[in-house]
Amino acid sequence: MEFADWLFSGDFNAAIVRSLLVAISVLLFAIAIGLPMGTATAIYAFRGRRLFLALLALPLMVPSFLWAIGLSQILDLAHITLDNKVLRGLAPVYVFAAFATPLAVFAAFLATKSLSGTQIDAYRLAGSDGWVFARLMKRALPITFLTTLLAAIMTLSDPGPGQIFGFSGAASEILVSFSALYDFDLARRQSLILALVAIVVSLPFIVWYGPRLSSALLAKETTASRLAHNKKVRRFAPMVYILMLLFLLGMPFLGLIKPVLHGFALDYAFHELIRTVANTLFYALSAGFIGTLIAIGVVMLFAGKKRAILIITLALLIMVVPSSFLAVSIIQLGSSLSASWDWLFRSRLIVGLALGIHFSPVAILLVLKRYSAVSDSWFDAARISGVSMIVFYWRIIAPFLAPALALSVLIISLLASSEIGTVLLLRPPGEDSFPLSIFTVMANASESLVSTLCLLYIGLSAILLILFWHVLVRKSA
Amino acid sequence: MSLKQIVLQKVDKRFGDVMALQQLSFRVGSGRHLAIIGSSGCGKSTLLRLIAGLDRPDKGEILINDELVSVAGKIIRAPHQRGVGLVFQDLALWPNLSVFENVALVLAAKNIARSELRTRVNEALQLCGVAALRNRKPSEISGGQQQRLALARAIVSRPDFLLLDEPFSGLDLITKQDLIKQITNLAQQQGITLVLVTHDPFEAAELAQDLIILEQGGIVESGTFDALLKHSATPIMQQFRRHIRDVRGV
Repeated sequence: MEFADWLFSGDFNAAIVRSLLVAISVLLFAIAIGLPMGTATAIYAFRGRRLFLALLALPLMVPSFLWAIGLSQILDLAHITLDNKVLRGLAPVYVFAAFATPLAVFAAFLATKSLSGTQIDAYRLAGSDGWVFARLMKRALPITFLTTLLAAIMTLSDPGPGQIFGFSGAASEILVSFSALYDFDLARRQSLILALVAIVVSLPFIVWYGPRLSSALLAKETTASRLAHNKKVRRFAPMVYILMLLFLLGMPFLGLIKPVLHGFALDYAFHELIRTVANTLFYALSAGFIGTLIAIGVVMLFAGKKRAILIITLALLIMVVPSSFLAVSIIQLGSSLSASWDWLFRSRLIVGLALGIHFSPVAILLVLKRYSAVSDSWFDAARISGVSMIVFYWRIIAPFLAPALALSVLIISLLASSEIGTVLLLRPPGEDSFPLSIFTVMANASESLVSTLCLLYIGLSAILLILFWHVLVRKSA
Repeated sequence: MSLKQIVLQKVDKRFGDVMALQQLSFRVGSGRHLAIIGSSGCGKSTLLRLIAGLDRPDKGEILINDELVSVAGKIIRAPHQRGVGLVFQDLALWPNLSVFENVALVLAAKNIARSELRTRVNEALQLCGVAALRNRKPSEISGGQQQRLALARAIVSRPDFLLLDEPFSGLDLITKQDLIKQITNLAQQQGITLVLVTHDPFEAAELAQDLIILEQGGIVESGTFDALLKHSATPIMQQFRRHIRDVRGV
């Protein structure tokens, strides 16, 4: 009883424990669903396989608080009030699961796809379909666990859903300290504690599973296995996907539809979009380019397969540090420097810089994967031919890395475009991004306006996703 | 006038605790093609890398055309200034450049006039039988064609010596025979001395007059191929001798 009282008290340590409980629940849910689905999608053929995977990417492009708004609308419609503290904690689990489960699916999918066709055939010769599936899931588990753990850790620094459901997690407490109490020192201390907790919790797993991620990431690209046919999977997999998409995305989406049934507030929504689109693009693209530049620097500086594990560990550690800690550290650094640094610390570029650093691990892993395919003998051939290193990097290495660099700019830009915590803390006055403007108006604006803004955001993300999917499908064809 | 030759004098090379080459001394003279055979891991490729200047010896000296090019712990002449071409075991083709560009980049580094560059690249591609593929990427041509492209890149700078690091691995018999014929003709036309590294005595027999048998980083036997075929006590040559006898017996 005493623990329960403490857990729901205003103590910041209790807020951290609450956030950790949410993160653990998200982790378990996402792995339970994502591991079998990702593994099955990698080895079995069924209708709509590619489309389902593409749809699963949508939650990764949309800020979590949009789904939270939709879910709260549905709960209103069903006359469910979150007066119970446990229920209030379950709502963010639901919302964060919509973000973490797709990641778990993708991780299990890619981990299984990293096996060659002959390796999978060898499994198939050794046992029944069920046995093969179980072995492949077991093999994909470490990478899926690590990826999902990172997603769960990232929920610690996301204040969005907590704010909407009245669930006071660690990220919400930091936001309140900074934006409502204007107590910067408190926010700094809280961010530091949260960062330490995130590192301590994830470090053993990073050290434990990092080498596995390294060997999977640096594995030579092999001929992919042919998809197997299984009657049960063919029949049930599309149904499971549809159910999961309806449960995780369909319900909040319906919640967003409800307030606009009586009319869209399109004028205001487009006005907001136009007002903030330049900032949103600037933050997203500058983060994409900065994150990719950091990745190029790290990979080139520590190039060499023996140091790959070091790079991967470093990348994973950067990833688990909450974005609020980075943002607060930048604010502190900016305030300790002279006014001659204002061009950077009071500009929009600082937002891009912070987001670029925060998401740089994504680029580091992508660039490292591509760079590991560069053969040492290419360098030797250049040396023996008298090709200067500048020409060699410009003519050979840069074009070779270009697809990975473009992909990392794109992915970081997409992730950064939906981030609100860092933008909220670091943006110059009045320079909101589109998601931040929704986050700012949601408490005071009409439901119809908020829903219109959310649907506009989701619609734009879906268009981007379709374009991206179209390019990928065309390329793979 | 200096002699066109490669001379190694008491060369050692060590990787950590492993002695890759020890006290290696030999000479490859102009016009005499040399094959170095031995089992995997005996130091064959390391030897080529030392001659090419891609690695430095820990002890000893390497001379090319009577000029000191490497001494213990130091490379005196850079790889591209040694007059050697190298066909790598994995071919080391630059994947994003076309067949033409793969060869042209070698000459572009030498500040040759554009028209001459084009002529020489086309000539090399023609000699190696890949001129028709000039606009394709390495991934768009077959294994044998890739091998020919690697050869064209190695000879375009008109080297005195062509080092071949197991260049025929993974090729079918007919393609291999074609390529061997092509290399022999090339060497004759261009006056190039060949140094072939292989684990296959059949390949050595086709291309080289002289032979070195390497084991655990040291020379076990050396001499002309014919002499070693008759008198060698090494298992690899005994096996080869037996095989030839059996085939002739049939």
